[in-house]
Amino acid sequence: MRLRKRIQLHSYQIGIAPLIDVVFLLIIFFMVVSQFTQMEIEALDLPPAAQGERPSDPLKKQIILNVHQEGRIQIDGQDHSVDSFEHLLQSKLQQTTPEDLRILIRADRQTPWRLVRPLMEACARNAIHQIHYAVTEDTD
Amino acid sequence: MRLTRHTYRTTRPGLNMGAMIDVVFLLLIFFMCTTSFRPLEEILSADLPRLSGEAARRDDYSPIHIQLSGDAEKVYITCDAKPCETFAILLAELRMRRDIDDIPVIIAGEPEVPYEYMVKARDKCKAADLTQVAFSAQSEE
Repeated sequence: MRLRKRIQLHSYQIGIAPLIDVVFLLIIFFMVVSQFTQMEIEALDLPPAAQGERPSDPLKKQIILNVHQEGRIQIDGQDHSVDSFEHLLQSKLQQTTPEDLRILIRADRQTPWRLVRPLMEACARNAIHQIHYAVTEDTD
Repeated sequence: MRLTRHTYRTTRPGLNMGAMIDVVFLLLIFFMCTTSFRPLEEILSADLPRLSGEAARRDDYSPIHIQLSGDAEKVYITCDAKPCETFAILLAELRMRRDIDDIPVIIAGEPEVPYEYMVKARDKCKAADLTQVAFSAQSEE
């Protein structure tokens, strides 16, 4: 009688297909998410400031104004003028109170002041008295 | 003799799965390495121009006026009509005034002054621990 020793080789069978699905899902997820953040936040050269703070209270409704150096104003991917911004502001104020609406101005660091100030004045006309300015860290 | 038919089938992938996974991971790592991260964005806040001039401020102090004039080539800073060569000098002036009290500040800028200098002036006010900072409106002097 021949004792046949059978060494049972445990072959670990990992389901390959789910692994690939997960990887593709992750890639597509990040691609889509980056598209959404792109719409509100344009690539701009922000002014540096040493006293900037991380934004708190993410639950507030906010309007992000992107102002390019030449004066082009973009809100949520769309071009606006000062007047159309004011209309947008007034329509948002019909749904929320001025205290609950946060206005964030992201302007290029070399934008002339005369292009940024009318936006602030439009906010002041509509009873919004605090504006936030996006800055980068100051490494000076 | 019993014919036993081994009906199990070793599953052999139709596509070469191993190579595909390698490609996917390679792509992932490639994009991870070539991604450049933007510097972190922070927020500075300031009060707005008051279009109807405020009659009474919270304190009895007359506000500090910071005036920025010039354009992209050269910017001139004045603090209460006193010229400051650099922002560091402005900060020193603001700190001196802060020693008296948290006096309100109004920052005014000429039309061609780059935005970053207005922000920097606001930044220096905050560094000097002055909390009542507003940008000036057209109706104010």
